[in-house]
Amino acid sequence: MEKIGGTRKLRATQERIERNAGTPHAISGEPVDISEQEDSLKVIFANPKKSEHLTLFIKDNPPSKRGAHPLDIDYIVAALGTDKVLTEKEGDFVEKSRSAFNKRSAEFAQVREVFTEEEVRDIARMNPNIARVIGQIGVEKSTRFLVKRIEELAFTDGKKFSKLVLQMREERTIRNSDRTKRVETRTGDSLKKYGISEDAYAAAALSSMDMTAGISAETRLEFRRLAREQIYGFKGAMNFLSGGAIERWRAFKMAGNLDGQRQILNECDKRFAETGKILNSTLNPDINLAIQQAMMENKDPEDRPEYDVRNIADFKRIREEHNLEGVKKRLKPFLEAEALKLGKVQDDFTDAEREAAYDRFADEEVKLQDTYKPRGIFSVLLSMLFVSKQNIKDEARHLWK
Amino acid sequence: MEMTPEQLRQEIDRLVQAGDEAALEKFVREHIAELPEEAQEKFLLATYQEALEEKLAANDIATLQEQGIAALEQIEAIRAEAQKE
Repeated sequence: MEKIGGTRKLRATQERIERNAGTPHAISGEPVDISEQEDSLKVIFANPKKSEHLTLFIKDNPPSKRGAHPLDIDYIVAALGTDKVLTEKEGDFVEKSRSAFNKRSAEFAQVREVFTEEEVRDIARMNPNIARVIGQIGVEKSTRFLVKRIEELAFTDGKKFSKLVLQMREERTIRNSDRTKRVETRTGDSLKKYGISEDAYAAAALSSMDMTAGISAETRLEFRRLAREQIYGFKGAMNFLSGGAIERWRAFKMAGNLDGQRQILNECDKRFAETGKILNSTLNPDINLAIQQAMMENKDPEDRPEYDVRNIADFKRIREEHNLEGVKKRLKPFLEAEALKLGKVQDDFTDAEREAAYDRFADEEVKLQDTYKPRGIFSVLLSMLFVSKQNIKDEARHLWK
Repeated sequence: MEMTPEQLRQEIDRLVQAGDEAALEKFVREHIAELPEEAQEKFLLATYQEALEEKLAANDIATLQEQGIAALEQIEAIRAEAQKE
């Protein structure tokens, strides 16, 4: 038996080393060996912070609810670090979670490592908005704040964390290159070389704008429509060329097919104009922004920033949902469901059952708070609006009375 | 002059009530360091994410421009070959 156990252990160790040896570094992308950061459950539970992170990580990556006997996440989380016995299936889930958690911890450690004050100074150079915010808060505090928030994301919102890390990695590869400026200059030169003038449509839209009042919402919409149209035309040009336009023209020439040659040349004129139009538009900051947004729409929804709190009206709606009346509306059906689960009327709940219900309700409310995706300043407003879990519990207790 | 947390909250409420988004944005940005730490942290992270998105989008535009320049050159090459006839 012992030999079998030993062989199993050895195989597991080898698999672990192989698995970790080729893990790409979160920021540099270079393969790194993270096998030394592989913590056992015992080590994790000996460290209160790691233990809390694992619990949060499991809540963010719950077991599948499918199948005849789905695992009870609440039971598993409560059992962690205690003597409660887990079934084999539950044990497997915890083991898989531990392994994934170790990987996430290693990724966060790699991000943490590059997040120095020097890095935050570089971040401040990205654009005037972030420069102003870091300038106001201070570099040392900003470094601390960013690390804290990213650490929280790592264990509570893996999707957001992974997206952010990927963006950080991409940004670092282009950080010190003057590519965007260089290409912009080349674009201007090419347009001049080919005698392509500013798109008359965009020029008219721009000249009709009252620049002192900023760009109106209608003009923005018009730019967005223009951008979509131009991207469509540009894609057409790319397809025309990648579809072997020059080869087709040569084939028509060889065959002495004049109609075919004319057809290709006419299409060349059309595609040339479409490409010129979009290139011209990229040199106008306002239409450039509209093109960026339109390009974003074409991306995978996962890669798009989706804000659901974009303006004051959105914020007011959420404020209503989270005032005392709003909480009351959600508390009532929650308690009814709890009573059904316990098979008794609410008045018969024991003190412990009530406390557990308040606790679960507060958890649900905090989860709901976390579902909002606020744009810029609305993250501040939501943060000032939302109350802590303890306050929600107090509110629930007050409403019960 | 620094404002007390209560004054900040009142002014933000007033601007929200007035529906003046530009003024609200300006006010929050100017007073960010006086807001509660959690609000500062969230705003900083949100602004950082927006800066990343903006920079990567600008890089995408540069790729589009490079492809566009190459397309113009290819089309010109076809036209030039046709004119040789």
